[in-house]
Parts: sequence; C-alpha cells; structure tokens
Amino acid sequence: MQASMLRIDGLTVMPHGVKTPICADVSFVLRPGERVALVGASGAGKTTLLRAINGSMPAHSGTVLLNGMRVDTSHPRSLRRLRRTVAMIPQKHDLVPRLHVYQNVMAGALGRWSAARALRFLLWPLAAELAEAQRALEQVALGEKLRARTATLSGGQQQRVAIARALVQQPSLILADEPIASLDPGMARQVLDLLCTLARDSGVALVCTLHQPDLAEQYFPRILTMESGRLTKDGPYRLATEAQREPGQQQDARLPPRGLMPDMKQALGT
Amino acid sequence: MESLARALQTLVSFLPPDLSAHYLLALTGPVLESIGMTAGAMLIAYMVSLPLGLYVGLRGPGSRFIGFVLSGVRAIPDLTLAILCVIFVGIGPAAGMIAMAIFYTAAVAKIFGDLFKTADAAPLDAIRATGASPVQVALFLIPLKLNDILSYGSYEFESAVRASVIVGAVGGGGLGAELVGTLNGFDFQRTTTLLLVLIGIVAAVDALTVRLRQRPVWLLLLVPPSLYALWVFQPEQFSLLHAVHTIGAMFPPSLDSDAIARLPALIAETCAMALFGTVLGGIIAFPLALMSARTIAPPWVALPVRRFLEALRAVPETVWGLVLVAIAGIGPEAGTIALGLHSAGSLGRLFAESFENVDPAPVLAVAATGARPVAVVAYATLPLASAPIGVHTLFRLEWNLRQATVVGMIGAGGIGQALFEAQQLFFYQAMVAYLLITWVMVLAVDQLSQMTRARAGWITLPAEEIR
Amino acid sequence: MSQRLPAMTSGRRAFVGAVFATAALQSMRAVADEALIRIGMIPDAGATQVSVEEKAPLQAYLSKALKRPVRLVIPTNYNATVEGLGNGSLDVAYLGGLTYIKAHQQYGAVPLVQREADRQFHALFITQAASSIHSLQDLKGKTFAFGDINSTSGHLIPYQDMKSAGINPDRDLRFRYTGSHAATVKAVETGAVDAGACDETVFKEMIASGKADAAKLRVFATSAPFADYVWAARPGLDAATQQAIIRAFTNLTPENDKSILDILRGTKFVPATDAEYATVRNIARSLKML
Repeated sequence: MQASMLRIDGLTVMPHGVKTPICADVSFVLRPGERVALVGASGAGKTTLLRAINGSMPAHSGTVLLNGMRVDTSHPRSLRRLRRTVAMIPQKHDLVPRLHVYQNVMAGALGRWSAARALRFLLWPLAAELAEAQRALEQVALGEKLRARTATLSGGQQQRVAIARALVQQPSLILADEPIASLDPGMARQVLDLLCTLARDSGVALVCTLHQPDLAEQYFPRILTMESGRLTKDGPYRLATEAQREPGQQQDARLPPRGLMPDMKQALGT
Repeated sequence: MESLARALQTLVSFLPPDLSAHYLLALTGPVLESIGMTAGAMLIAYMVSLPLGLYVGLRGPGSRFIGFVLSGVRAIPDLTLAILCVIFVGIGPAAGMIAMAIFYTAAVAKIFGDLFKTADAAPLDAIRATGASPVQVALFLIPLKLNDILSYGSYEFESAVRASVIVGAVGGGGLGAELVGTLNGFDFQRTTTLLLVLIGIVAAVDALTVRLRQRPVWLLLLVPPSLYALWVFQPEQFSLLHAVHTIGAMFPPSLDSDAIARLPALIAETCAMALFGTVLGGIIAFPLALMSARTIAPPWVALPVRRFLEALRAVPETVWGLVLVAIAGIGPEAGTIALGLHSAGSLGRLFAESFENVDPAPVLAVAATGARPVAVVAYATLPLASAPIGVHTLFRLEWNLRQATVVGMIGAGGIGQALFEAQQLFFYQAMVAYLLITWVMVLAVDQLSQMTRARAGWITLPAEEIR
Repeated sequence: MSQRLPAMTSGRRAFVGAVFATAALQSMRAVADEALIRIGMIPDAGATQVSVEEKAPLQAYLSKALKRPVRLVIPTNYNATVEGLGNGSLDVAYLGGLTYIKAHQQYGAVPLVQREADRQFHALFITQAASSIHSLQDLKGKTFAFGDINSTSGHLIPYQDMKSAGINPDRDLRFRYTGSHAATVKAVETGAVDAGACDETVFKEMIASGKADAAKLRVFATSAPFADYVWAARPGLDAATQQAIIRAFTNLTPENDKSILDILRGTKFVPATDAEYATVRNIARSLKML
C-alpha cells in the first residue's frame, strides 16, 4: 500500500493575540510525487498552511505528519532534519541579494552540510560543489549566471534561482508560495512549466499556492481551494488534462467526506 | 610576554573594588558634582540650541555661517575645551560645566538645526500662508519634530554624563578628578569602584531618559535642580582681564623646528591609533553583537552580553585610556586598546541592531532548508547586515580619529600627547598650534567621510548617533 | 584716556564697559568672600577624596592659625595649580620648584615659606631590589617613570642627571609620566616600569608607613641637592595674610604639631626666597622646560 507522505488532520493555526484562526480545521493527505495547487483569495490562509507544513508556524491544534513524523510537536533539532526533505520556494523568492548566485543556490544544501563545511563553502567553494550548483542552475536555464551577484538578476531570474535552491535540497516535497505572483504572464507560465516538469521528472511532491484558478486548472491534476482559513473544495478541475495526471492518482488524491475521516485514518495505517 | 604578565598582575590589583561604606559615602560629593555640572551645562545647551537650531532650520540670514561655526566648535575636543576653561576660571566644576556647555551647545544646536531643516515643507508652507510670523512658524516646528528632539536631546545628555568624567580628569572636578587621583595614587581598587559608579550612573540616566521620552512634561521637573546646579557651580572667580590676557599670550601659534620635524610622525601615530582602535573594536564587537542580537541568540545569552556591551560603552575612551596607561604603560598601544574597548561597546550595540533589523524573509528562507543556526547566520543574516555594519564602522573611524587626539592627551602618544605636554609646560603658543592642526584634521576627516558616504550612496545620519 | 575714549568704536566701548562691569562685580564678590582663604596643593602624592580628608588636620590648623576659614584644594595636575594662582581661584599654593618658577614668571607668585629640607632637596632614582640596574648608564633600553611633567624632583632634575650621565631619555629609554611621586614608587614596586625618579620625602614616608615595601625597592642613584617645594602666594594677597601664613608654618614644632608635620612630610619650616631657585631656573631653561 502506498504511504501518505504528508497527512494533515484537523489543523488549526491561531497565533497569540489573534481572535479568529488563520487556518481552521484543515485536513488532507498528499501522496509521494503528487502535484497539488492550493488556490484561494489572498488572506485565505494559503501561506500560513504552507508554513505550518514546514514547521515555521506552530499549530494551535491538530496534527501535521510528514513522512510519518510529527512536524507540529517536533524538537528544533528533529524539526531541522524534517525540513531538509521539504523545500520552500517563498513568495518573493527571498534570496540574499549580496551573495553570489552559486552561494544562494547551494544554501539548499545547508541541511545536509556540517557547519564547518557551510562556512568553508562561503569562502572557498570546491569545484565539485560548484558543479552541483551549475547543474541545478542549468535545470532552470540559468547556467551562465553561476558567479553573478544575485542582486543583478531580474525578478524572473531570481525566482528561478530560488527554484534551483529547492532542487539542490533534494526534497521529497516542494512547497511553492505564489511562485508567479510578481511575474508577467509569459514568465509566469515558464516558471510554472519548469516547476511542474521538474517535480514530475524527479518524482517530488509539489504543493503550489496560486490565486489564478485558470492556471491551476492547466497545470495541476488536483486542486485544493481555501476560503477564510478553511479547505472548501478538493478535486481535479474539469479542464485538467489526462496527460498531466499520473495514472491512479486521481482516486487516491481525493479525501473522503469529512464524516469518514476516522475510518480513513485506520485504513492508512498511521 | 613578561610585560603581559605584569599587565595582568596590575589588572588583578584593580580587584576587588573598594565598596566600603566610608568610601562610597565620600563619593557622594564627586557624584553630585558630576551630575550637577552635567545638568547645569545641558540646561544652557538646550536653552541656547533650541532657538539657534530653529533659526538654522528655518534658514534665516547667515544660518550657513552659524552652521559652520557650530561645526567648528564641535570639532574642538571636549578635553581641550576643559583645559582652557581650567586656565580661565580655575579648578573645579565651574570649568568643567562651562566647557561642556560650550561643546554641547554647539553639538545640540547642530543636530536641532539638521532636524528642523528636514521638517516636512508642506505643513510649514500652510502655516506661512496664514500670514504667521517667523516666530509662530518656529513654534510650530517644535511639536512637528518633538520626537526627534527628545530622542537626540536625551542621547546627548547621556553622552554629556560620560563627558563630565573626561572634563573632570583635567581639573573640572567631580568623578573625573577623583578617578585621576586614584590612578595617580595607585589606588586601583577605588578606580574600579569609580568605573562601576560611572557605569551605574549611565545606566540610570539611560533608564530615566527612556521614561522621560514617553512623558516629556516631566522634563520640566528637572529644570529647577539644573538651575540650582548652575547657580552652585557658577565660576567663583572669573576675571575677564585675566582671560583676555591669557588668550593674548596664546597667539600667535608657533612651533619650534624640532616640533615641526616630529609632526608627521605624531599625526601618523594618531591616525594609526584611530584605525587600529576601530579595527580592534570591530573585531571584539562582531561576535558579541551576534551573541546579543535577540533574533539570533537566546535571551539568557543575549541579555548579559548586552549588559556587558553597555558597560564597555558607558566608560568613555579617555577613561579607558587613563586606566590602560596605568596598566600597560604609555604609548599608542594603550590608546589603541582604549579606543577599541569603547568602540566595541558602541559598535556591538549597533551591529546587534543591524542584525536584528535585517529583512526576515531571506533568513526564514535559509532556515527553511533545515540549515544549522550557524549556517543561517552566515548565509543570510551576515550578508544582509553587511551594509549597515559598514556604515557604522566608517562613522566610528571618523569619531575615533577625534578621540585618538583626546586619548593621546592622557599619555597615549600622538599629537594629543604633544598638545597636552605643551599645555602642561605652559607653552601655550605651541599648544594652540597643535590644537589648530588637530582641529583641521578632524574637520578634514569629517568632510572626507561625508564625501565617501555620499559617493557610496550610504545613509547619512549625524555622527552623534553612534558615539 | 578721556581724549581717546570718543574715538573708540561702540563695540570697543561696550567691550571695555563689560570688562569694568565684570571687574566691579568681581570686587563685590571678593568683599563678600574675603574671609575665605583658598589654598591649593600640587597633587605630588595623589589627589582623591580620601587624600583630601587625610589633610583635614592641616586645614583645621591653618584655619585656626589664620583666624579665617580655609579651603584646601588638590587639583588633578601641577599646571592647574599654577593657573589657579593666575586666575585667582587660589590665594596660596604649595608648589614644586619648577612650578614655583613658572608661577613666579607668569603671574609674579610670591615665595612664602618652605621646609628646611626643601633648600637642599634630593631626587631619588629607584628600581626593584633584584633588578640589574645599578647606575644611570644601566637605564639604556629600560622603561622609566617620571612623576608629573612639571615635577622638579620627579622630572626636571632626574632628566638633567640622565643627560649628564650620557643617557638621552627621549631616545635611549621608554618613559611615562605617572602624575605623582606615589604613583612612581608603586609603578616601580609592581614592576610596571623598570625604574623611576621621585621625591625623597615621599619615598621615605611611603616606606615608613608601609605603603611601599622596602624589601622590593632599591635606591640606585641620588641627585645633587637643589631647591624644591615652596608655599607661594598670588601677588595680590595682602602682606598681613602673607606674614600670617609664614608664621603659621614656622611656628610648627615636632613636639606640638606632629600630625601636621607628618602630613607635610617635614620637621621644620623656614621663610623662602626667590634667589634659591637660580640653579633650578637655569636647568629648566637649558632643557627647554621654561
């Protein structure tokens, strides 16, 4: 039986001093290699949900299970280990402008590097390490920018550097937060193409927040819809083409109706 | 090695501090004297600099010239002013108070002028359009900039408390006189007591100004005691004839050929002291700043380190210099370390703020890869904070050049020491010559630093920001 | 004067007016404070609250002898003491030989009274008991402590002696000014410097009172005699007060006033004259310290 790689159960996120939860009673299951779009208006709680998945936002109640490990109650050390397997592509790409491109890209490897190696790489990168950065950059078609200053790159290029950083991380799950929000339509399609192709080719699961339902339909076999903190819809859109769906995934990806959850839990053998 | 062992031995003789009731009681006099002369001097400074600052801010006729004069006065080291005042009015808090009043009137007026100049033009034009007189416009400006006035004003007060010890050291009375006394008497345990008292006073003033900034009305309560201090410490004996005569004897400035031949070496020594002192300060400040940044270190590390930095900063360069000259002997080494210690305190605080104020998003992004905390700091926090750290260090270098001449005066070498020795030996014409050279140096570096910053497109803040 | 006044510019007239007004105010205040006598002492043995307290018996004695209130002040350096006489913030000051000469030259300070020993004073060169320094020549390459830069027995005379012995302090050794004789003794004792020069009375007093350890220190050279400390008055001080001060000191006897004489590190006081300082004055000139 195929294990769930991410399993969220009744997740509520409500930071201190906030009266209404940002995420309320969210439950869903994600299988390895699955690609999901998370759509909803801004302020619906999409980004918060992503943050709760990688443990940077504490849960108020409910559970987040990643590869069978609890994220919400993890110790900082084991949380760090968990985070190595989850790559986050933040909304504004959030690179460090003063660093060289290869330094930003290889930041993705920091989870598996020792502190000494991390510091050495900043000052003295080895050829093999630069080659790894080069390979990742070639996958996002930025091979020639290896040694450029990050600040000199355009917005779309920086977004692709952030994707390269995620690839270097060798994750089993990529969380992309509005990766195309600041891009023009042409660039937006290119980036989405890139993300989806890379995820499919390397078998990495992908959760991507978007606020354009049409793009979501085009690129993702499964779409979760959020409205004011709640998950209101879960299923493939009509227009999603067969080609973009892995066989057999469609059925499993759907969550049972809410009432059936307890049985489902047993069935999945948590 | 041997000299290091000796220095450590001397260091041990500073401990434990003399906290006997008898000595602490004896210190109430000097403490009150130091606080009193600060209060009196700052009362004058605020009273004079507020209208002056308004005038300059509103660009009244001749305000450029006034600004130039203010910059010029501010470039005279406070210690030198105190020495001159001791010559004119005699030993004691009166001399120190007058020296501080002059220095801080110039400093505060300059800042107020700059503040008022940057006031939003639109509301001012609206007021002018109603036919308001210039005085009414000026009165309108104060509430507009009240927050800045209060924060810079209290900042200068804190700085003046520290300066009161410096001017005291050359005969201006108070804690400074006592400090020099204990050092000259090799009474080092009491020196430590005095350092602790100074750190305590600065911390108390800091805490007080934070509260006053929230409730500025309470400032009025400070006026009567300040007036009283002004009255108590007014010069007992001030003869204008004597002052005019003494100033007359100081001109024309002159140096003999030996002194002129030594000049380049002296200037180089002072510059080296400033440079190495800044580097040393930066090297000490960097790790401590990382440890005291609330976004990086846990509170049980950050808080004590922060206190330690504040203590380093509470003791002025000159006072560190006095102590170090006693421990390590004379020479630029003592001066360099003295500049380094105080710089470490100020830079540490500013670096820590730079680390805390970086854009959090890239930091979170690197942390999200599962990177170790060390790696997160190295790959995100540090490169993001590097620009403000560079600006702060450059400002510190500029400030340290000025302070290197002052530290020199207490025996740390360079042009400052030459100035002090000329003064002590009553060679006032040579003293004025050295003073003018120092003054030109400080003004030149001021200009140079302003140009560099403008070229690099770095933010410009008044140098006082980072003392 | 009356003919030239109308020719003055108004600014100049205002200035002169201010001078006169200030002078008038000064004289008024001087009348009010006339009773108080302000006496300064160079900080030859340090100046702290405690050292001022230790001198309280001296202040009380002088107050009684002069039948006027006396305030004792110890400025932080020698220069400030001389300037005190110049600007009128001190009426009488205890000065060293060199500082007296400067006060006399600049402001016409009047010598009053001094210890008998001050006429034939000695500077001592001291080092650690076990040190390899046995003569002035051995000082080459060593670290050395002078007292205040204006000190006679702590700077001027030792400097001259070193030069006579073929040592140039500016080139042949690294020296510092400690600010006081007590500090010099302690700096040598703790090894902060290899050797130092100080006042003989301060050295003896510190050894006798246990403030310095006799076992750790050794005198390796003594200067030729010269005239040193003196109590001097500002020129404007009235003759009666000057005489009263001279009497107050010459009346001190070891039998009746031991505590006072201990503070002053002396046994007998004698009137002082300017002529005594001719030699020191010449040395100071030749060393460009005057």
